[in-house]
Amino acid sequence: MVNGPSVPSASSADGTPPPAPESALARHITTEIGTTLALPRGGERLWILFLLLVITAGAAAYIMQLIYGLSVTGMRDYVSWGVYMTNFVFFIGVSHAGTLISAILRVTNAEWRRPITRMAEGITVFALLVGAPMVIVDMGRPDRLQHVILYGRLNSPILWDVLSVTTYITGSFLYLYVASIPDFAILARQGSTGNTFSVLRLRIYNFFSLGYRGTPQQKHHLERALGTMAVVIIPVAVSVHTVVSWVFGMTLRPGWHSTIFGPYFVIGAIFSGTAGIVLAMAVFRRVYGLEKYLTNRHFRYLGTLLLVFNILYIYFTLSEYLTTWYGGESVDMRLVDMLMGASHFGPLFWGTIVFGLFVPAILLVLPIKKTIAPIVIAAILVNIGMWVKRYLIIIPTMLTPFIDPKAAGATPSYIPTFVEWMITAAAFAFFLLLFTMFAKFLPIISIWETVEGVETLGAERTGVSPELQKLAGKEIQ
Amino acid sequence: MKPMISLLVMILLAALPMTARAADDMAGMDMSMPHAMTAPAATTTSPAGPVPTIVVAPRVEEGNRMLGATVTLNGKPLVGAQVSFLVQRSFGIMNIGHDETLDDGVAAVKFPEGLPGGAAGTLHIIVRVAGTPRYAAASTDATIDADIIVVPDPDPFPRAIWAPKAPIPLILTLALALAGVWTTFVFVIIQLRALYKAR
Amino acid sequence: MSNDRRDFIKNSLIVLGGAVAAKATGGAFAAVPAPADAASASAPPVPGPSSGPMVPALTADGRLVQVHASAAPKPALAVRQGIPGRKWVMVIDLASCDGCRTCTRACGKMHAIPGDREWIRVFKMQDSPETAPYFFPRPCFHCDNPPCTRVCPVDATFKRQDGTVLIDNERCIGCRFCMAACPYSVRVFNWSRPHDPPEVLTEPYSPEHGTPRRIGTVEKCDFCPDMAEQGMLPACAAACPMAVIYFGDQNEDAVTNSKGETVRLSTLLTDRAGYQYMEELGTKPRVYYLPPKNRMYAPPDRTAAVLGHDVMRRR
Repeated sequence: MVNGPSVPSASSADGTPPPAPESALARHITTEIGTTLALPRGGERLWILFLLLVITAGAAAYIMQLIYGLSVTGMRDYVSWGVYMTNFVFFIGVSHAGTLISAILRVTNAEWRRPITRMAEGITVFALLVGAPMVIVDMGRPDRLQHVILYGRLNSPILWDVLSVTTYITGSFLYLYVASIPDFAILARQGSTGNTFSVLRLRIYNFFSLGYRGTPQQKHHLERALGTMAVVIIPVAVSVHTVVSWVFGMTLRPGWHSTIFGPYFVIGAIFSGTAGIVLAMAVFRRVYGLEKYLTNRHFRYLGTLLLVFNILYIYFTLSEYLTTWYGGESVDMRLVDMLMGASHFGPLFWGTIVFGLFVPAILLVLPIKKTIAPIVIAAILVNIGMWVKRYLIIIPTMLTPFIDPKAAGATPSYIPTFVEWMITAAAFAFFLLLFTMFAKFLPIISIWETVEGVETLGAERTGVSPELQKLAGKEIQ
Repeated sequence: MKPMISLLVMILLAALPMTARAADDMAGMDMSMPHAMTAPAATTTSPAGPVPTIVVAPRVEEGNRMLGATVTLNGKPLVGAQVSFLVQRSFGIMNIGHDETLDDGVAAVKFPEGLPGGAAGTLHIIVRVAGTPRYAAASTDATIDADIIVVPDPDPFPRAIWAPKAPIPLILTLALALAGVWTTFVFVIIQLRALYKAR
Repeated sequence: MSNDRRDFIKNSLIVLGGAVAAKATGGAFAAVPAPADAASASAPPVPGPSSGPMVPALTADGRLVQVHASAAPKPALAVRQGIPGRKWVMVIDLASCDGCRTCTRACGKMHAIPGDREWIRVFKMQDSPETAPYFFPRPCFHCDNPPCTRVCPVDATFKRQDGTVLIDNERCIGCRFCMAACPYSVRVFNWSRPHDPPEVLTEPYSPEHGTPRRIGTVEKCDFCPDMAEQGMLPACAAACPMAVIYFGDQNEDAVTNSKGETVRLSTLLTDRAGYQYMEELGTKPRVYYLPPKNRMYAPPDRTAAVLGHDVMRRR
């Protein structure tokens, strides 16, 4: 049961739990949120079919790449990393949404987090499940993946990446799981959500619930586990994106060999991750009618957080490029010239600065309280901008080696091919599919945390609609 | 007729050291240093005549370290002979000097100071005397002690960032960080087990 | 002497170089097997590329093949560790380089390099608009502190004690981190399925010559270490008609060029103000350059930048 501790009634001396004290509120919330768990129909099916089609096309593109080699991409000897690495950095960045936001808010007792933590933690896991394999897609010899374990060299930042990403995936799964145990217990009870689950599905839920019934002792262990995970996942998340940045920062290349790359990437990751949560919230709220749980207040709070990281990212970007430009080293200047002017990167760079950083910042400071539209638009812009920003971190530097290729008559360039775009589209589709399926399996809003929040702290502090308070009010008195 | 025979003998004698050396090679002896072939071409293309004898030895002249070659013809010092000093290296023969023999038949060049002498610490010196109408060109090999013995790096693969093995501090840092995090994960799993036991 | 294809090509290159043949001693030396090769070369030398002792060898994928004795693979550890006591070094005399790219072609022939890449690339450099351009052949620098081997996750590219930086293409996973890390843009990649000529395909793979090529792996200039071991110059050095490229053993303090001129390395670097390219990066390259002073040929065309002194927009 869910609300054990909030009902301090005696768990009897022999340790057997009290009978399920199901409140009207708990029933109400469970049923409302549980609507997402129904088997896909209509539009949902079409959506899943569409995603599967895109993924199939991407898989076909990848098979083509396996057969013909990376020559089917736009990458060549000078630009030896391209869109795949961009996707890798982007998805690892989005993954920060989650755990980090959820963990920070949990550690700081920001109670309004309750309805959004599940989504945030989900984003982390799925972004990692999509992002990490992007490196394998980028590999010339994916058939030799085992060499990383057989011959792994701890000196290589790639090994650091492997270790930290593995740790992060494990930790994120664990974190998501621990926070879901009480919900598994709810779902394991047939009919609790207003859906009829198959026996197998109930068994799975029951298995994952670990026999949780909300006894004070179980609650104690759960909170210890959750509290510990929330603390430990923060340094892990920070280390992951730091190490990703070091794949670039540890080289001697202009534009990469920068000491602020670690924090720059971490800030960028939280920035795009927060924007990712805002987008996910907006979509789920719309599709499943969860306006009662994902309220304007959640968007405003996240909007503020987004603004903070937006400003930080502007600050880091300024520090990075101003220092490079002011120093004026010749090879740095070739990069700066390419990035800020005399090439097709110029419009892309300034476009990102304006529409990916400044326009979102303006949208986020607008004093609009009635609608979430500006925040959602900002989040969309930020996500696009951050993908392009990663592209602009990788490609122009690859085009700016110390020995100017022009001196040998070479004019390297990089235009991503259809294969690369298809695989990229498939990566995004896979991410969305995972999320869609996840919403069918676990409540996208943590039932137990929301119920607990409303019952113990009230709807106001939990950030949910006051309607729910009315239901709870009777119970509490 | 007689001069013809003596010429033949001379050529045979000149060829003898070479044959001996070839035999050494066949026996696999003294393989520590690559051998040079003395140039047979030089002997055949130079004017026919008596072949001078060359003896190579380091010497000191007026306090300077020198490498000397004493050139004799029929047991008498050969004066005014043009002498080249060379050292065998892996990819070719390096000229280290040129001199003309004086009254005592000695030509000398500055000792190749600091020139490393391989693992054995020796230099394979080749001294050539240019032929003239009076006498044939001659060449000899000698092994002298070099200033420097090349000792292979005792630790060619130290723990370094570029080497296969990582520096200890790096390993420690990684191990500590990972151990800390994974221990915490284990702690969390223990909590979950306790939660399960308390069902 | 063995009749392995590489040696065959190599010898013909030396003859092509012409100079060594004239210096009978140098040519004769090249024909003497180095100690390490003595055992395999003990069979009587028979001319003709198709003869020679054959020995069984096991390929990486488990096939048993017959190879020429000298081509029999060395133990993997010996290949990885290199020759003790040797330190291969290269000196490139920019004053003599006229940019003919014979080195690039000889290297390409030697290593059967496809047309889309170059292991030694000749750049036309100009340090400032006022200075004259010069040609700059760039092989792999085989750095003593190589940025590429630092980042390799699987130890596929490695530094040997004889100074060479090689790549094991049977271990390389194709992550291309080394390519991103190399500040000198030396490394190239097998983006598509390689089309090696048949004579290359029959030889067993060794990091010492990098063939047969493997798709999805990185390759680069290897300093021709199998030939250096036998006292033969790398293809580029042997082929250079201007004798620009000197190659040798730093531990012998001597380098040799295609004219058979063997000079003291320390003297050459001191007298000619030898420098390492971009040594400020801390990479400690094993390739030295001699500045293009007192050139042996007319300097390359100056660009408009110099002629139009005031016309040129300057930053």
